[in-house]
Amino acid sequence: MQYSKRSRTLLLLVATSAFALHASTSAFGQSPHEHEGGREQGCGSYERDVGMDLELLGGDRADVTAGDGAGASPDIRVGEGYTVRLVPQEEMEFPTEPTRHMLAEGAFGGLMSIEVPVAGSYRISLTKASWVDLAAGDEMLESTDFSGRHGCEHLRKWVSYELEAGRLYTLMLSGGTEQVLGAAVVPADHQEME
Amino acid sequence: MVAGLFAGMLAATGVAASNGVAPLLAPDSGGAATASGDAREVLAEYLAGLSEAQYRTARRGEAFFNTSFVPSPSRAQVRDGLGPLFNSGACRSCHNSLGRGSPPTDPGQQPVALVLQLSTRSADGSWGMDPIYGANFNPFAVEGFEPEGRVVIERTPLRGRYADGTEWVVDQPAYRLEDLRYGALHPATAISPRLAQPIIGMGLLQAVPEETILALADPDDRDGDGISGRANWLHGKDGEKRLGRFGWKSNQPDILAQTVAALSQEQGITSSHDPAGNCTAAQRDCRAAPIGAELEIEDADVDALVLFQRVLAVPPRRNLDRPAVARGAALFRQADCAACHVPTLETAAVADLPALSEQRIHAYTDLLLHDMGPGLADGRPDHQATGSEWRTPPLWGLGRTPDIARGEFYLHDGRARTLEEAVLWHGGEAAAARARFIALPPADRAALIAFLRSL
Repeated sequence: MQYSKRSRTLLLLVATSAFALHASTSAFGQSPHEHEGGREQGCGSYERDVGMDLELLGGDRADVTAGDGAGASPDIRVGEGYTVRLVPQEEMEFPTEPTRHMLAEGAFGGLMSIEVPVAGSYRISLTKASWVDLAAGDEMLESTDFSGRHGCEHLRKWVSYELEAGRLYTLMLSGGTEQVLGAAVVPADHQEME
Repeated sequence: MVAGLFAGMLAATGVAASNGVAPLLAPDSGGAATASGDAREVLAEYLAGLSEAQYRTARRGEAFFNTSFVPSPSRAQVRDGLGPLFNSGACRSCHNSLGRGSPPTDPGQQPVALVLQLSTRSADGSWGMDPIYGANFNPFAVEGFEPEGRVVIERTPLRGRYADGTEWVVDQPAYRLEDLRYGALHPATAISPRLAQPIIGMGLLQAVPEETILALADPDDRDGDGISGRANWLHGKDGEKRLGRFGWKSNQPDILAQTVAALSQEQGITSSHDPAGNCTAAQRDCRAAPIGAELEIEDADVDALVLFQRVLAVPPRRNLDRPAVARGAALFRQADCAACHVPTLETAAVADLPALSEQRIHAYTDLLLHDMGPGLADGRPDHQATGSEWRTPPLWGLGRTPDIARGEFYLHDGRARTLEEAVLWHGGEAAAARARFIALPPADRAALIAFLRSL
């Protein structure tokens, strides 16, 4: 499986920081929810290893403006962090209705394109609350898992999907009240990156 | 010995075809308010026959239910005013897919759908909310504020054996509050954990006549069957006496009261029905926080939230053609589960929603309080409910839980991870039913569970 050099580096960082967290927790008897090792209060209670998500969303991110449905949508690459500027939802033309019926007043939405090089499970990870849908053409994908935490600055929620290599997906965000948020697509199973 | 007697009794009666089982196998749990089952979300289907205006209003309510409130000030004025202390931003976050919530499953994770209610015993023996922390413990706060503290849950495994020798293990949870932001709890404060319940069929349950519920009550157990059933009479601010029928202890009289209480105490959203919100006098920073408006949700939007909950249909039964389900239905009856989980009720006339009107429904509840024994007791009275009494929860839709939730969590605090565990926690008035379940051979236990999963 081929991934970018940066992704491989991130894997190493994740492994290193996970070890550091474990070691220092054991040494100093601190509970997992406490601020430690770059993980804010709340982040440490995620049941999955979200180290890569935190690295991407807490680091330097590329700026993009989400599509409004009328024009093209920006491409979001696996293993990169993005700062996404969303569109007032009343101006959005969603290709398909979002699956969660939510208040549109004061909300922001946006579209992004995703294509993964390797089939597998991926997380859509966000720094702020927003409803996440993933469409493949007219088909709305069922998510396979999700989680969220208040009090985790760089990872408010993630939603995972099984994705096919080379297929174009449209990420639809809706319902949130933050116009700017961080987003990343992360392989859910790091072993697949070996 | 007991197992042998019970098995013999079942064989003698011919379980599958016994009298009284037919209602337990009715396919339409909600009568005309039974869902087709075709909706994308099985618990989100509306009643048939709504007017255009009702549909629009219900959709507005659904949008509010699904949408998180946000801190003030916000561009999204229709939904600002969250907290600053809260349990959850959105109703939906607790009522997963409109079904039951889940307690924390990860170390350090704070509860969202599991609310710890607080009340304090006064010197005169009466109970009121905790003077510092209020009626609910809020483990979350908006940015710039600190939450009230942290909930710690410790679980102790308890073991036992079925009559056939099979071992079972259940977890007894204990709750502790730490890192308390406003100082220690009052020493006489009791904690009652309450998990968010499914909201399907609430319109039907609200339409069950008071006389029907009271006719099922037997507070002094005059029939001597060991099962009483008490009404929880509530006294409103205006002194009006009302029958409780919603909430884990029948501590709310109707959907409106339940909704307004959740908005206020769990989300910090004020309304004309509860303009005070959840900040106590001792929480000065909370009271000084920016507010969305004097009243943070308008009456019309509260009404929409209530209508949305009234129009949710009940999912259809499944697997009724399976022999195990029929056998399980008979066992349910024979084990006397139906004494509290009453299979059939009838609703009164409902002028505005014909699908709710005069329906024969199968909710499996009597909406009454029953003493469930010390194992489940929270030691915290709630209106007229004692610390060991709980409302019989409706069972309709139970079988959909694995389809819509990550994990199964039953009973008032989600301690039961399987339906078997939920039965094993029954005590008090239900101790005899539990004993009958324990006495069953494995195939019959599985049949009883298959019946519950068909609901």
